[in-house]
Amino acid sequence: MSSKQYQQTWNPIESPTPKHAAEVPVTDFRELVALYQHRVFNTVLSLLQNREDAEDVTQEVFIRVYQTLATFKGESSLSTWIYRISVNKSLDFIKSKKAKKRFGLIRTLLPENEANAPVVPDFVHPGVVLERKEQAAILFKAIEKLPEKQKIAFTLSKMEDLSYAEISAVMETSVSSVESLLFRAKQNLQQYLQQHFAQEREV
Amino acid sequence: MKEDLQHKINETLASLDGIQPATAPTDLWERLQERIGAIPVAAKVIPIRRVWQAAAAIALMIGLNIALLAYNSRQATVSNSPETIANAYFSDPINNY
Repeated sequence: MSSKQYQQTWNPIESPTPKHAAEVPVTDFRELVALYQHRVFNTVLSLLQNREDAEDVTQEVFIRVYQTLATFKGESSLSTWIYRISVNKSLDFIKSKKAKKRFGLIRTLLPENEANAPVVPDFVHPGVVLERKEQAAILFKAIEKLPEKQKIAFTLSKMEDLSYAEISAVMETSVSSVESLLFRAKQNLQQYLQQHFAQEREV
Repeated sequence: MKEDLQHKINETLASLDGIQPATAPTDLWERLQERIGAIPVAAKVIPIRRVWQAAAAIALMIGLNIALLAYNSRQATVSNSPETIANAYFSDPINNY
């Protein structure tokens, strides 16, 4: 199928309602991937703060999109739907990683494993301006400590530049809740940073 | 001192201003293709319309079976009642003497 023919049957940019996935050949799915891959990867990377994990989860997101295109009813735009899958997959990954960490903690209590505890390096987003890398690393550490919903709202706003309305659609909540989440996120970040710099001064 | 701290915090909070979005790995499609190929055909996608059609067909079959069973059992009850047997017995001229 040529790209012109494809645009006549289903254009992911113009039409929010795709045909059933069974009717979408893999070659057409490729266009969807090409269109959304950077947005998905950037969102997932910002939430997970680890490149390897983000690469794996990005694949999971697109596999999920491929498998569930048939159930997409077009109630929201395609990009909102894909963002939602990206956020959910990232949260699932974080939860499973935390569960593994808890199990790992029990193992580290054993004396021979004490030295084997992995050292997590500071995350630096590849898109940060060089002069601000150090500060951005501190900020990402603070973002990591935010409550889940505040973290999602802040990430979608700062990293993906989504509007309040778009964030509310992705998070399936009201615009006023998004405003409140972002306000509390900024307050919490201020507090974390205050503590961080106070500790730094003491040292 | 306080102003200095606040300045540091503000600078840190602004460190993400003008951030460029990260780009996905260049081999993402190749990796996806491998994984899509590995998905069993049956597990790929079943259109929701077809699921509903199958459910409707099953419901129709069950309904028809229930209706047939009810009809047959009613027929059996009527034909096996003592009155029916007696009527059939006496309506036969051989028994009616």
